[in-house]
Amino acid sequence: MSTPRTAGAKAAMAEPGPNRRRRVLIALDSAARCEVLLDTAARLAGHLRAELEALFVEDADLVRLAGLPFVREVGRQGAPRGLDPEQMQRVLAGHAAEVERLLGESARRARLQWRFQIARGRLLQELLAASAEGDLVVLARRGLQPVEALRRATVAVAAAAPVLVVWQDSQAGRHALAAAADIAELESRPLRVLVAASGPSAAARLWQAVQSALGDFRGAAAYRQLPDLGPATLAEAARIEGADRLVQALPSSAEELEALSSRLPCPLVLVR
Amino acid sequence: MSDPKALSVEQLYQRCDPALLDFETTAELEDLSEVIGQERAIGALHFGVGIRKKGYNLYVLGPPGLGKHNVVKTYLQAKAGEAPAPADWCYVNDFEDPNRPRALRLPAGRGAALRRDMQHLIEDLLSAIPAAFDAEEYQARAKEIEKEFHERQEKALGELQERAKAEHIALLRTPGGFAFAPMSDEEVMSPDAFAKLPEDEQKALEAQVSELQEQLQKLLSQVPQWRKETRDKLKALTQETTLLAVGHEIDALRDSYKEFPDVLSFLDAVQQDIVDNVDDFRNQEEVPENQLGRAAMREPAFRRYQVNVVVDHDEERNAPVVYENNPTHDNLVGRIEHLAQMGALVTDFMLIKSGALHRANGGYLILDAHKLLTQPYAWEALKRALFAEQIRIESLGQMLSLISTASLEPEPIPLNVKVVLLGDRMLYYLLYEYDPEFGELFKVAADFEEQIDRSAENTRLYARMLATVARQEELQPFDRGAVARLIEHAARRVEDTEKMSTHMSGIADLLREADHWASQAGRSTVTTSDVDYAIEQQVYRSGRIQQRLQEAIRRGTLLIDSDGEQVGQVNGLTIMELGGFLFGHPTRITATARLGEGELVDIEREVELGGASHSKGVLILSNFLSARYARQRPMSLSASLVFEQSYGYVDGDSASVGELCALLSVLAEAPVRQSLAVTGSVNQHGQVQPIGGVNEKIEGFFDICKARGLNGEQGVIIPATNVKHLMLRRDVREAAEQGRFHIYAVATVDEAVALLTGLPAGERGDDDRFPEGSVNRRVEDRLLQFSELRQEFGEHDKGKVEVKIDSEGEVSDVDTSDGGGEGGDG
Repeated sequence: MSTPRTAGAKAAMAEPGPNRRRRVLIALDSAARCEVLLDTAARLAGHLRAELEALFVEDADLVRLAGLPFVREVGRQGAPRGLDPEQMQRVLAGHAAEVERLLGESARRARLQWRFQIARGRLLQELLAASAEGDLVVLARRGLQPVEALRRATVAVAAAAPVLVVWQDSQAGRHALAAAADIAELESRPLRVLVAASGPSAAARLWQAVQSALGDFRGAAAYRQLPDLGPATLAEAARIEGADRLVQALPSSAEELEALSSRLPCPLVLVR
Repeated sequence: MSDPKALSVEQLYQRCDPALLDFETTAELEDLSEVIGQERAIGALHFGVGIRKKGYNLYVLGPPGLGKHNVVKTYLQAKAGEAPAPADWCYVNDFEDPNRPRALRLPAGRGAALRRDMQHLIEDLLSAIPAAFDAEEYQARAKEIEKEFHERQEKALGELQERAKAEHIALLRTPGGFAFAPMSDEEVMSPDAFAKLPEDEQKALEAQVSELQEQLQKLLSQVPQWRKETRDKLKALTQETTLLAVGHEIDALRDSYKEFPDVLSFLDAVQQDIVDNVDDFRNQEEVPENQLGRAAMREPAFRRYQVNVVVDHDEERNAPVVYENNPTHDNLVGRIEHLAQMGALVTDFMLIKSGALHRANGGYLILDAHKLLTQPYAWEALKRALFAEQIRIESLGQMLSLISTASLEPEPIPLNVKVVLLGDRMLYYLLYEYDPEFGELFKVAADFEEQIDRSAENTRLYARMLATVARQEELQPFDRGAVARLIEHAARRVEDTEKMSTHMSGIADLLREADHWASQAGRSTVTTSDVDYAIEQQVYRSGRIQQRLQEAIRRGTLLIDSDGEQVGQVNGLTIMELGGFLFGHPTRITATARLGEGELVDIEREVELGGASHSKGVLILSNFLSARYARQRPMSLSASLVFEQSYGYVDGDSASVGELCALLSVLAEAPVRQSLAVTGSVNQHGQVQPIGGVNEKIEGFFDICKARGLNGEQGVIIPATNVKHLMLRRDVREAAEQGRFHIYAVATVDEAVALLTGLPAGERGDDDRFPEGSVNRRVEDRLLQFSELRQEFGEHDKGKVEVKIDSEGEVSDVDTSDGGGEGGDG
């Protein structure tokens, strides 16, 4: 179920034209902390001269869950409490309003037109349904992991975290690499390309292809060789790199996306 | 008894023997390094400086201008040269109690080295610590710890999720946490679908969800403990990494300062503080090297590792000799400064400033007693420090509750200093009398002489001292005559032909001025005439009041006769000192006598213009009269004495001979020669005693006589005991030599009165009477006459009235109902 909505005059869509390369679509489910992500998305849209659109998905499962009389919500401290459908509805609506407000602020700072939609359903399905060719999708989802993140201050933050990108030798993969390069340039971060190779020589060959695809990218770029590009491997790589976002081509199926996004410790930037 | 003769010209001035001065000019003389004539003071200095016991500080006594400061400083510098430079003292932060900075003692020069070493340490750590945390090893280990934490949660939640999934129950993330929900067709079962389930299925489902919830609760309650364990591991890793970075750097310092346990303890504390606050080093903002304020941005965080060297003897080789010209409380014991930050006054150990006691610690501190005593709380602070043998910096503002802000209590520094106070004698005796602690703390008095013997040896040394001063002051050489004149002047300054002044300030002034006049005259050597001219000019510049007084006498405004004779009127001599200039001038003393009750009215005392010494002199002469002339009958005399035209305060007994002569003159009705002036004090036996300012007094009367024209009769009568004090001006000596002015020295009042009246004083004969016609006979007869008259009056008017004549000659009746007074009873 999708309920597109525009926010009056302030959400006036940019007129389609030859300069419009892509749309930056940020997809969020409830309760995701998204100030930084919205801001990043807005700046990225400004950089790419793209539309900015947010899709807030009210999780239908949560609404149903709240209607079950015996179900209890267990807080992060382990304390159980009852659920109420109306209360759940109010919480979700409140989150949506907050996201809309933050998006507006980010867009104003980036001097962008923007659009905000609320949908009810499942985030990934709604995202796949709403995205189109050429979109750059930022997926902000609170998965199950981690229950609690450690404060970064206790761990070294020696340099800016790299922008991770998964190299896939496809058009979508090249788009993802280009988008990651744009983000790295925009945020002055190093680019770290994840390549799946069985050995160093294979990885080096892939890296040559990546460098060729990068073209005139001026930032620092390096690669990390992975045995495969499965969700667990990518999640592990993201943790090791201390990444706060991972860029890759949009998977074709919701299951594949679910597997990846539920494990990843950071938001996903998906390119279609 | 023969009349005294006038003094010879040789007795009026003691010349400097040219044979003692075997040089042409002072350029030939060697510098004099020692101090002449101050053996007692130098001995005390030697003793006081040598004895290293508590309380043996020194007070150097003597009037200003004796050169005490130079002598003491030169002596102390010589002594200090024999001792090595004392320790440096530093204040460092006490990391456990920043309000009580710690004091560190280091050998001379090592304080500044420690300061530099700590600066370098911090600079090094600012790059070493971030590098250690950037290193792959640390990053990998930190990430491993994080990963472990995440995996632990992931594994636990994943297992629970899988178990739930096997029972067709999903674990969902809700806005406030987690929840389990039964699934139906890949969706959470709707409430309607649940309601349609059979009751037993509902219950079974509820039970499953409930159990899973309990397990989830249990799992989540473990997360804080896992988090704590993870953080502890990370903290241990951080400490280990920091220690690796810091330990290496600090170990090098430990090795450099291994013989100083306090420094090692400080370095341990620094290391621990860096480990505890390593984020200050890791989270530095990148600031360009050339950007202003870079140091200021770093300072708040790293200032606590700095070293405040409050006493730095880096460049010194010997013990310090410190003279504190402005001995305020803070300048003595140090102070704690404050900085205004965000409207509040703040301070720290780096704002501790040293005082003179810190700088002089291990050496000598010279202070002016008067300056010290006039600075609030400075004297008390000095005594506290000397008693406690430690310097405790206490804010005066805090002590007096003048300011209320954060302050410090720095650790006291042990004090080992020899304090030398310079001051006049009055202050010394007052302190000794009124401050019981003074005697305990300043046990050694170095008393400087104001005069030295004018021996042949001292005369030669004095010449060398003059030569030394002339060279130090870069003056032209003084020839032998000039030096002789200076030595004679030095004797005149102390009014003693056998002594010389040690008032170096006055002597140096005269040297400079004589040099100036010699230069003005185009001479390259200072001669006698230059010294004479310099002395004349000094007198002239200071002599305005003297000249006005002399002018008033010449014009007849002040009545002073210098010829003729008068009964009951004597020229006395007084001296005045104004602005350090001493001069004498004559004053008329008159006496009246009449029948009375034996009272002698001192009019100066009656109107409270006479001092105690003056009154004492008058009472003495009164008793002299009684003892000599009325031994067997009451003194039936009422007499009065007055300094005519004197409107100021009069003190001293140097006019008592003159007063007695005036009284004897009026009683004997013997006219007094007005061509003579007299000075001297008298005792009860009629002996004349010495007085001060004899030269100025003689010259004062001489100047009047000279202005009016010397007639060969004029002169001054002085005590015989003052002859050795005569150093008279050249013109007075010349007049005396020519017989135009005379100086008479008398030993008794009889000699004085004989000179003044031209009559013999007379001595008692075998019949216990004075010779007929002598002054004493006439006085005795007159008093006998008064006594008889008094007896007649007493019997006739007993119990009725007494006639009293007051000081102005007015007659009044006084009721004598109590019996008429003692006088009448005789």
